[in-house]
Amino acid sequence: MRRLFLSACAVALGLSIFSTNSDAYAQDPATETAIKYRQSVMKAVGGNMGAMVGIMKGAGDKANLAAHAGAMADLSKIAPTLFPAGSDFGETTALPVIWEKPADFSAAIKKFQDAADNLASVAQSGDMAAFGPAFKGLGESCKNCHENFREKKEKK
Amino acid sequence: MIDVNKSSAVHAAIVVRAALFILALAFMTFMGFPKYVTADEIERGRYIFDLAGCAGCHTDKKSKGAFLGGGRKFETEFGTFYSPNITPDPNSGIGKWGSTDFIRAMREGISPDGFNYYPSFPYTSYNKITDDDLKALWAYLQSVPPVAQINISHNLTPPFNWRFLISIWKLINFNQTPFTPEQEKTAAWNRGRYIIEALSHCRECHTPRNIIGGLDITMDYAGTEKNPEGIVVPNITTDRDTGIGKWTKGDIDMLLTMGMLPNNDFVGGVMAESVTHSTSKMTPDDKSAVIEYLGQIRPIINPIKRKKSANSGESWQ
Repeated sequence: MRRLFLSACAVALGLSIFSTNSDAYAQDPATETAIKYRQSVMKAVGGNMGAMVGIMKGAGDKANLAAHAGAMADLSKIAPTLFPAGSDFGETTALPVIWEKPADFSAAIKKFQDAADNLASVAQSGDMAAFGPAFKGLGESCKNCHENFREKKEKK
Repeated sequence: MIDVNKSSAVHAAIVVRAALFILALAFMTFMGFPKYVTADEIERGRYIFDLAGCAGCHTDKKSKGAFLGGGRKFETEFGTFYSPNITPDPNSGIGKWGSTDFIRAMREGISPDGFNYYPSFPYTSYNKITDDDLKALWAYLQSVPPVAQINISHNLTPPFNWRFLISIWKLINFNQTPFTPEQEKTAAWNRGRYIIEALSHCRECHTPRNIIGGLDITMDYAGTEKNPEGIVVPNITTDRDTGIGKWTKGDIDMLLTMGMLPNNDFVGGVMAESVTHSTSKMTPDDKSAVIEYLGQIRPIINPIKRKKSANSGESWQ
């Protein structure tokens, strides 16, 4: 009886290892790399946003706002390349609507780029009174894209 | 003779008119004078409308639908719901409704024809809205452009398509206690609670639901890994590790104002909509009231993770 129980456990364990492994190999490595790259660029975007909030709250040197805003403008130009076809499969919260409605998605990216360019030029000019509203404008473009094209939902 | 006749006829007419006038006056005193809707009231109603986030569900933004024309699809574990048209169109909207119909729908979840609404319409929260706010909201809703767009019927899985079951559901899950301010708390705390519980209906997403879709108040605001739409909803209680107990007031302000999270991410999906339609439009006073109330919500330990995302490294903190 005891032996039967143990061997049943062993089989169950073996099965669970097997299924875990098959999950890990289920994805195309190229897709995984594309998703990983996208998430890394997004982290850089977030890092610059967070850095600007830090400076606005009084940390660091205000002159560095221009560097972060400039980086945002540069990163926004990379954004359109982050969503190759097929990269909606795998561990991503990007919604399929990105690939289903490319015109809508491009419009949202354009909004991001315009807002980032605007913030970069405001930061260059050193006009601190205009910086807050321009930052808010950029934040709205982030939220706009996430609202329509990203959702943390259980995978079907 | 002719003169006398004429003057008595005039007299009679005056008496009749005077009597009618007195009767009308008495009637109006008894029934209440008709209230004229002012531009101010409509404006106030628009703000209530924003805080209550009505536009989010009642506009099918994804299909570029008309403002408040309804038709937005909600795929849930109970079946598919479609939001109705709430513009003043007399045939497809709510143009034939009176204010009492509107108040009954919001307070009790009952249609003018007397049938129960599904709780996908959050009357469980709207029930707590004050009379004044409901009146202002009604004034605003009557002022929006009518849209002729026929409602789509819900397509629900049995037994959820048996509407009579809603009355039983209501007995179990619908707490109709009106909102009562707590005297020992500050005015801001009470205002924040009113916004969160009644107008902005935060519980409808942030409090998990039981198996028949009623709110599980023992887990108030503790989030869920899978709401009826399959969406991951974060824990917003003050628990320091699994909730938002480590957030500063400034962090919550950034979230409400533009949707930015303390980890530099921006909220997406439904919460992004809520920021767009609702929280970003809050007055500074209302925002600080909300922050005050949120900061005092009872902490509940409830770790929320997105399922199947072991290597994505994403979280809300």
